[in-house]
Amino acid sequence: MDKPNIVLTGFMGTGKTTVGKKIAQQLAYDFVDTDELIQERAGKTVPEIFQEMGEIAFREMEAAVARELAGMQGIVISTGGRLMLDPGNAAALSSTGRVFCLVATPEEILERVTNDPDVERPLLTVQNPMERIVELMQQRQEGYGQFSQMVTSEKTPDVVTKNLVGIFQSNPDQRVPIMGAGKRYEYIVGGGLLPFVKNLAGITGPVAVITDTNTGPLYAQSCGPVDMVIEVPPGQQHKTLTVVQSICEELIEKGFDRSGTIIGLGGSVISGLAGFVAAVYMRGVDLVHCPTSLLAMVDTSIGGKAGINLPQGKNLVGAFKQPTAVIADVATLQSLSPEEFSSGMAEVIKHSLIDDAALFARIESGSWAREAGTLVPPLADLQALVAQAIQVKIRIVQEDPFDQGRRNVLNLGHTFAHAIEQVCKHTIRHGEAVAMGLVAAANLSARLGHSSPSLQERLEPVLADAGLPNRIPAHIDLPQVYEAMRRDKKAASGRIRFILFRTIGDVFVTDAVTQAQVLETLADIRE
Amino acid sequence: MKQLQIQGASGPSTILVGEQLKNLSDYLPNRTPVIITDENVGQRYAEQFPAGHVITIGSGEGIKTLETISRIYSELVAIEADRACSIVGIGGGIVCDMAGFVASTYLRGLHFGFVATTLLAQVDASVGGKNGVNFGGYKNMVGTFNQPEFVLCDLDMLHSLPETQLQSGFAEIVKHAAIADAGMFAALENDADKALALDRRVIERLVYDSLVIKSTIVNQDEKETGERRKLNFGHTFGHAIEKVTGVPHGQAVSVGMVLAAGLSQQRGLITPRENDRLCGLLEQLNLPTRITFDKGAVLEALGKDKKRENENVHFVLLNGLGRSVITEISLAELRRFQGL
Repeated sequence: MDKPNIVLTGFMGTGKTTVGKKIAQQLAYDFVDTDELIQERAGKTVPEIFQEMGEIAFREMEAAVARELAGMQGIVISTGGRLMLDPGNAAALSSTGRVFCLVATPEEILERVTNDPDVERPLLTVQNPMERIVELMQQRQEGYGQFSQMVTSEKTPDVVTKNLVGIFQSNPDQRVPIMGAGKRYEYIVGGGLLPFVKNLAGITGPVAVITDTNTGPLYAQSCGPVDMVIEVPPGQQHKTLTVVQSICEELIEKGFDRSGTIIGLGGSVISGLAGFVAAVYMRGVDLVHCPTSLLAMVDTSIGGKAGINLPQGKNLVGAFKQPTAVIADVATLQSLSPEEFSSGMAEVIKHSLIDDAALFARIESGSWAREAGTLVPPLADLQALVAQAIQVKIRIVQEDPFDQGRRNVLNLGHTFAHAIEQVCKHTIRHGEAVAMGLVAAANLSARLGHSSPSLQERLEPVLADAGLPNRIPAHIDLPQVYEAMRRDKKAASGRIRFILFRTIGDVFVTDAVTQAQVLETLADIRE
Repeated sequence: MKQLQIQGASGPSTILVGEQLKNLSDYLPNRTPVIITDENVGQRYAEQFPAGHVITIGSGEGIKTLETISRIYSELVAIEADRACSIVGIGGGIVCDMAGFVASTYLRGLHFGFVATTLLAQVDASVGGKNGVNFGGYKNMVGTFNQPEFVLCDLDMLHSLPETQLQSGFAEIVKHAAIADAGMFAALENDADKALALDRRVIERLVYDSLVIKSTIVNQDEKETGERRKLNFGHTFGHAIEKVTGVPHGQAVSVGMVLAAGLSQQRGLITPRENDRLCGLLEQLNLPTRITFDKGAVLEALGKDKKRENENVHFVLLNGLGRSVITEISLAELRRFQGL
């Protein structure tokens, strides 16, 4: 489509009409306000329609208008406060346009509404409008939460317009095609994609969402109407055959059959679990990954590996299961804790080191640290970062769909990391251990003369900026780390395989490393 | 010995009809075998197994569970089985189904092969790459598609099989002939006695022909969406009857084929004479052509079969002997079917 529409939604008084007109002017688009269009056609004001014909009649008019406008292009559509909360309207309008939800504080909304003498607000003709606004906002929080959010508080309409036009022009949903085991599918990354997951992934049959009890309450409803939501307890310790069994039981009980699609909604644990269930339930049903953590987006949702843990070790059981689509909604990253975000950044940095020096430079020049409750990097930057990072892994797994060679380079830093995690009995997070492992790989590469010592110097501040460590804690016993590396399942006939650097973006596999060299490196980067 | 090469999704697979268990190690170059077998086969044939760890499971459909799979995983971890190992399932369909599932999922997949020790496993379970376990009262609810690298069919081992086991194999052989090969059907009519006596030349031919038919159909349709459904001839009713009455699989499938043939005749797809020939062949092979069962319960079970999609049931009918068609029949029509 040449000129996708822009659809503005949000609570009354967030500036949909004001900002919408300004955007239309800048882009040379037409402007439509759905309430005004309905009033014009009915020859009545919205309050009159409510009063004389009832709310149901009004909602029907809205639905007709939504369908009609979805068939047009090159328009900015300012929607009535509840229009986009209807899944049918939302699906129609988002199929031909990008949706943004404008948000403001209740105080500001009240002020804007009170100061606008032109419009009557039937919902607010109550004794205590402030209370009413807060109540309505709470009711609609979930519905509005489906869309890309744009904060308008303390911003002039011109600033909001500039931001929106910027996102719209620079940052459409990015689609990266993937070939996995002879099948083509798309990895789609964008802001506010979850409500359209069924459309984007081309799902027609029944849908079962598999998620965890942390993620489910936040986002399961955003996926639109689905046939069942199965929530499992969060965490690695639940990535087990027992949980697989209980999921399958629930699927059977609810009559889920081979025509269905499983949506894995969550982080890495859910990617592994949902992938495994989709691989084995009735010998395989369709799978769509909706990763909600940075780690799952840039790593576990790509490559078709699905796995569960046994009491004796992680990922000892699994399958290769290619999804029919991966839909990464970067808006979900807002709910990640800073630690989880950093963990994901460790893999992003790793990807850049393996095969994309330009991505490394992008990370180096950006600001990626997070404080609790905030998302410092703007969504548009995150989306661009994810889109670039996934391409590294996609390139590599496409060359090696069944993990028989080239994929080894994805283990950069991981030979060290797994050993460190094991020795400290998993008290260090995976992302932190990977960060230490990346520094170790840089150190070892320089020690062996494969790369320049400046690489480690350049890497360390980048890790620190992402909230990651670059030293091994003093209490870790180094000979034990070496021993754990030697026992790793990837050690071919007792020789440890290392991924080492030539330079940033260029790595290779080798086992020509002595025990002494490894121990020297470990000692060198210990706190 | 006859050899058949088939192309699985994950690579080529060789079926060796008439090869002997004692030569198994020839097919495991540079690999450490881990053998999965059941008590019966283990007791009788263990001395012919190649050197390697042996995991013994119980026998019977009841052990085809995720719990047993979990136990096998634990044993594999305990012996530190890694990707240099090859899993070899030595046994009938149950052992092969479980060995295939374990081999497809442990460490995301190891090399694996089968020694099929029953007639049913030789003509049916060895090709098609289906594996899995039962779950929640339904058969093969959890599993994967993954074809073994080799299947060794030792015909000498058939002599120790009980009658019902042989019946199951013969039912599948009749099925293959009926859906796809009129010539094989006629040959089987002539050689039924020799087949029952496990005449080596006749059995080798029947197993081989069955495998050619099945692998041809499977290759046309790796994931069971269209052509492959033909292999369900007699099984739609068969599974339901087996579930409701508990008769052995072969007997249930035999009756299922007779019912499907009745529906085919009702639709004018086969003549009464062709229907009689099918029933006659089944009788020659000591297979039942009718059985008493609770009609309502069978229809109920049929509606819950895992292959159901919406209201219609996919059904395989004969279109003359040696040809078949896939059609959809509503549960309502089945309820009205007089032959039931």
